[in-house]
Amino acid sequence: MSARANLALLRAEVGKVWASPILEITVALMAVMTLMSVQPITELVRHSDFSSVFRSAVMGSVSATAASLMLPWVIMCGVLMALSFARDYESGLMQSVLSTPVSRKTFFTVKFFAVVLPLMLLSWLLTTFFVGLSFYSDLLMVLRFSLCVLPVSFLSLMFCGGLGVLVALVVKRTIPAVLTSLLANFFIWYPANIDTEWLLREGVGYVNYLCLTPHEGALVFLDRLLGIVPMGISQIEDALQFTLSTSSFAVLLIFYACVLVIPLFVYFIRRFEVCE
Amino acid sequence: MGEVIGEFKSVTKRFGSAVALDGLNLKICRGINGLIGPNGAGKTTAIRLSLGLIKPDAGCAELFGLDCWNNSLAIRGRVGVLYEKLAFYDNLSGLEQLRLMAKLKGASDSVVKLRKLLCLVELDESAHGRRVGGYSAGMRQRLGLAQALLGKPELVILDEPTANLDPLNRAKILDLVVFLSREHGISFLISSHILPELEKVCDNFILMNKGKLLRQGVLEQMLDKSSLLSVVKFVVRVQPIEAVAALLGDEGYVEDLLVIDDSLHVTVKDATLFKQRLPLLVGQVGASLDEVRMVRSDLESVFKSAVTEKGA
Repeated sequence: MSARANLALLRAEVGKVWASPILEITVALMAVMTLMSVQPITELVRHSDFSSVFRSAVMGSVSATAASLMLPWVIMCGVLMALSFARDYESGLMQSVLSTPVSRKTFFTVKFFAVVLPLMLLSWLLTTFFVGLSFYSDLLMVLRFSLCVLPVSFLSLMFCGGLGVLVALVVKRTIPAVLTSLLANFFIWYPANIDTEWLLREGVGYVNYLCLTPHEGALVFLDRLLGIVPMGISQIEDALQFTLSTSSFAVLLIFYACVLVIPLFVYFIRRFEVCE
Repeated sequence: MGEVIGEFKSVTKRFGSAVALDGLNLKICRGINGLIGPNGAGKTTAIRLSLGLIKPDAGCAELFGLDCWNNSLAIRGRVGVLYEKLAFYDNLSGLEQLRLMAKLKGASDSVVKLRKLLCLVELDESAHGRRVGGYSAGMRQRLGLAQALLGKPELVILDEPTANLDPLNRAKILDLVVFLSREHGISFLISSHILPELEKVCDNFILMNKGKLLRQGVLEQMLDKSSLLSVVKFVVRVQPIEAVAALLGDEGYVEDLLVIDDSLHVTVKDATLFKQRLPLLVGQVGASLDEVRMVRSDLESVFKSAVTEKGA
């Protein structure tokens, strides 16, 4: 199949997945979640003669913005992916398209990236915009954040999308697949909401391993890329999230990005049967 | 039967504990093939299997000499299909949908040609630019048919092609099928429950039940087999009609007996025995036998008798 045909299919898929009101709902959800974390601290940042610890705390709010944004992108990615695959299977559109000379590889890839790429672009634009609102006086930091959040959101979305596809291919019914994907993604995101540093200082042992979960791992990786160090690190410096290297977190995120998507891709092209 | 373009050899397909195809053997010939069978016979499964959408558990399905699962891309390039369950990109217009499908099939996506195709299936020109989501069932059916005809396919598979159409439009679609088959050499595999329509247009019939082939052949072969194997109807003109009717009613091989005007309409299980016994019965009451005529069975009666046969 020609590249022109692939692009036409991608355009049709993007148009279908992001048809009104999905785009509006996603943007509104992300905007509301991020708006809550915007803080009028620009002036504090500008006066950088504050102690480095205080500056670190201020920088931490950047990380908080990313964490707030993560929930809508995680949920929307899982939901839209499940919706896209399960609805097409149930409605017979998957059967119709796969009855033309479109390979299963192309079909899977197009459907997957029709959700992931626009969502990555949206999350990147919105996080950059809202972080920019808080820190407009420190444009270098905003730019650094903007560059760092892109790979992190991509890897994180790959995992959520994989989970959405897994649910869709197993459940095969639109509404149950969407609800299951929403719940699964929410519970996997939840550890990213926990203040691990505080709990570590309190001596809660299992929290040490939360940094290995997909989304908490993504946030720790983002912090590392931005050079954010939380306050009072000396008390918990032997915790995993500080002892593991930045590259270890990069490998962990790549592992999560691939762990569902690659087996599902292989299953879809080799064994998946379209019989709705 | 014409040249064979597709063949199922002992194909078995199970979905969990349900057996959809049970060692199915059939041949798809050049021309118009009618695929008939009751609900759950395995017709749609056979169609999906021929396009490589599902994999057989055992046996082998081939189209154009190619294995349907391993060479599905090559096969799909030569086949057009209209499913019973119609699905489109509802946010696109009819013309955009057709353009997209033309690109996917590697066919010409020239707007002029696509409009011509839409007109061929009698989709109103005013509907070409409207969103498919707003189409009626009949319009969707026509768009689906246009989609199936894209790129000059060698074989077009139609699953219930006239399901959402009124009788007038059904006839037009079937005329179009005959025209495309005769003039352009396109072969068709039509699955439908409207048997009198199939009887008019099909060259070859495939009768399935419970995932197995019951019968296959041209209409005459199907009807001959039917008359030998199962229920046959006779029209008998006899005087006095009541006395003969009373005697026939007691005969064990008579399935049904109706007096219509001055004729007896008799449905029998054993035609040979009926032909032997009738003169005896007529003589018994001193009646005069004016006419005995066997009513030619049709596809519908073949279908009914075949699927109700013991073990079918």
